[in-house]
Amino acid sequence: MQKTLYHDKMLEENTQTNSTFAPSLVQKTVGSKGGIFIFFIAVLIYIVDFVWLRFDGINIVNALRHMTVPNFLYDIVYKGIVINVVFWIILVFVYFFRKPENKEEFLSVLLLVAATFFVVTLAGLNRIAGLSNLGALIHLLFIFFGLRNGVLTKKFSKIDANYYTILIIFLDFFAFNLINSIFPWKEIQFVNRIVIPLLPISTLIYIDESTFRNYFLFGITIFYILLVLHTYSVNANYQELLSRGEIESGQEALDKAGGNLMNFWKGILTGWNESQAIIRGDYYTGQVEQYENEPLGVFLEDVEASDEVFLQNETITIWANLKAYTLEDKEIKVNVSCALKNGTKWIEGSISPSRVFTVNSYDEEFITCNFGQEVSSEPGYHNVIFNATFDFKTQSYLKTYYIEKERKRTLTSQDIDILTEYEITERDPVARFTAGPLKMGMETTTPPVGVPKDEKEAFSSYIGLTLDNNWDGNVIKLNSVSLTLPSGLTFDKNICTYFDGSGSNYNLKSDEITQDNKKEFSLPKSYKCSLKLDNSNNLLGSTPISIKYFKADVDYTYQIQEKTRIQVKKSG
Amino acid sequence: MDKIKTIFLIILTITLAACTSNNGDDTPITDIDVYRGTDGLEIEIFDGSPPLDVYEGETFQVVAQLTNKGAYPIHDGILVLTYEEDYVEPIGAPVEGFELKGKEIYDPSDHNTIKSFFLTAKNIGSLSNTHPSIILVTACHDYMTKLSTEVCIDTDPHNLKTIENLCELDTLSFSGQGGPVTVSRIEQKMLVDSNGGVRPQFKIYIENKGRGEVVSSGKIGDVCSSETLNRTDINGIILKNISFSRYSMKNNQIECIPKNLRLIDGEDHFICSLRESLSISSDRSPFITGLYLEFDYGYTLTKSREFEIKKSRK
Repeated sequence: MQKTLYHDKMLEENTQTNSTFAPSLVQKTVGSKGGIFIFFIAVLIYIVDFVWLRFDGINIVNALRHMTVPNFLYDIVYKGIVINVVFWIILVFVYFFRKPENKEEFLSVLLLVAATFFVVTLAGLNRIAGLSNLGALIHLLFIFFGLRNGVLTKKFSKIDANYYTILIIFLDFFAFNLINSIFPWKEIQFVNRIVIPLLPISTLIYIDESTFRNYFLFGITIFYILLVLHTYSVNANYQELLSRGEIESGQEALDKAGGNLMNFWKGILTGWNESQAIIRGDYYTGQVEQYENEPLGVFLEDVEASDEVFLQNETITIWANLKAYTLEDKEIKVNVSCALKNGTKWIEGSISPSRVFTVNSYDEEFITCNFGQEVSSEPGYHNVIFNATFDFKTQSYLKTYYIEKERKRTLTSQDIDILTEYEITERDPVARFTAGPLKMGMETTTPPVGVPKDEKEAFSSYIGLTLDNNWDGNVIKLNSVSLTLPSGLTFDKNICTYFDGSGSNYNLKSDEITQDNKKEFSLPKSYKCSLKLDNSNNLLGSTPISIKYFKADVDYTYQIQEKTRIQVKKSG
Repeated sequence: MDKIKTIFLIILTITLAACTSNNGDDTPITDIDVYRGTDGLEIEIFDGSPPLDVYEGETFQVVAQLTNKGAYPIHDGILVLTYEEDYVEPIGAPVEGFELKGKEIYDPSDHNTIKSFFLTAKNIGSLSNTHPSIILVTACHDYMTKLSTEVCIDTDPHNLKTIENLCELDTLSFSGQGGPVTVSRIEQKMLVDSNGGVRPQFKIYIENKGRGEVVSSGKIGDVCSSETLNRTDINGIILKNISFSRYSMKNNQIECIPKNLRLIDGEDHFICSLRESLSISSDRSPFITGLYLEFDYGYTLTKSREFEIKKSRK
């Protein structure tokens, strides 16, 4: 009774003083359908985003990368909000016409309008050209007029509704990109607006309770639990496994859940190791190159047994698809093997058509692994592993900028931002590496690097290289690591003792590689060397600023593994 | 009532948004005045040159249009192309000279010229599919600014005479003289010496209102290369001459401090006074006379363009 009275009272208040726009629409949805109409609008927006608009919020990390903090504060905060005439007009309008009850309410309105202008400025909606950013406009309009006016103000006080609106604006526009920028682990790449439809879920949580709402919420909860338990994609193979029986499906689900938890834990550990290396100062980061067609490397896919159940002394056959993509003209040899765990022993199977495949650009092979009748596995469940070992190469490059040292001092002392002066937008270049099982990061002195005209003058710079695992497999051994420096730079051999070479080209010494390979090869692995200025004219060229590259090539042997599980029953 | 307020707000917002700021330029009603505005040289890199995508081994062009929107001619300007040596190779020298006329009364249009560079894309690496690259086009040239205005020489600054003054000392403001470096304002003062004579003093404020950087005149060759640049080479303005009535700096009758200015944060000022020995008698009535000012400087600006080098399909 009380609840109803409160709800009616809120409705009465809000009908009188609230409903800034489309009051009849709001009244209709809240009064009769409990906001379900607004929920369906949210779902429609989600579908339109997915099919057409591809709205994905604002990447604030990217925005901050492309402008200095003062420029950001000036262009976005100062110009976009503080001296924005429209912002102040709206606040004056609210103060005189909407008559907030107290200071707290006015403050919440001020913060809400400021948050909106912040988003409007970043999304470019304050310009005519920016209105083509339809996705951002639609989301903002829905959050204001649908979610806030239609739902939140019915449930909460105006102050709370305003603060919830601010929260939803920030989550919708910034949260996903921020999370993926700070935690770029593939294990949490399901945190995106396709898998987590923020607006429909927010609307559903806050609309009035109803049977429809409760069933929908329950359904969504079950969906997400299943998603986490049963990997990130559901495929027909998995469905088939489910049908094998309660024990098997339970085992499989537990295995996959365990695997997912393991991956998540490995992700945490990898992140921990990386962060330790970062704290120590010897982890250099990189970014993978975008590949247009297919990802580079060797992959084992669709590993499955030929039958649901095998009898003891029956030949066990496992299939797999081996796919390989490479851009190089050079052929890659892939060695394939398989093994079955029988008790505590691993029994090697025979591979057909061949244990060794030679791949050139793109190849796909269907492989069979057989365990003959003589294998005689014990009844029960057994793990079968497919291994593919191959030699691969990853290349990496890091761009940097060089400028004459006195020129740099002169321009800097006059408060001239050198990179802005030369319209260079990539202010802090990140190393890029080619797709494959290994990732490479590189780092050098913050650009632009000052170079003295006279090589005898002091010059201090360095290059750091980090190798790290990019896939779930293992680097079996390093074959070679080579570095190409910009022309004019060399390594100081007295300090950099693990690289051999001269001029611009260096290779990791063979005994250094052997030493690494002898120990259990653990990643990440970093190398750092100081640079010596050999020829300033070569490095600076004849232009006001020069753009140069460090390049690295790593040849290595990598092993990938895929597992499956078979059941053996007693014969007879 | 709510609806009325809402409509009022919308109309007010649209009206305010439609307002454009007035940059202070006075459009002459009769004579064409080319010595106005703050535009100088502008660089535009044509769309498609370079193309957004080029392939390994492909030869492509970078085409830049240089437009002199200022009132002064450019002689011996330098245009230099910066490129990524590891991925791109120029055909021919990546440096060009250029000359451009300034606006004139009988030809007030902008003058432009087109310069092009040919480049070849190198291999991007056996395992890469694409490589993002960039080119920078930097122009360096000498330039000047001239100002001609009227000033008041008030021989009775303390209003001791009974007759009414013909003119009064005032701060003069300007919006541009047809170049990126402008005289933004002139503050006038009359120094009275012991024998009652007056010496006009002008505090002249100079500002860089263009998009580029001021460099010292005569240093553009170093600026557009990788040579060392000292503090004196950047933001330097050389006052060539100032004159009013029958007095001029060239004749050593007007003393200016400093003669060579160095802009700080894009602006600075110099103070010019009539020499003490040439003070104007206070017996003379206040009068209006022309003030003429000319200074030289160098200027540099850069435009960049990004493109992608793609793996060639064999």
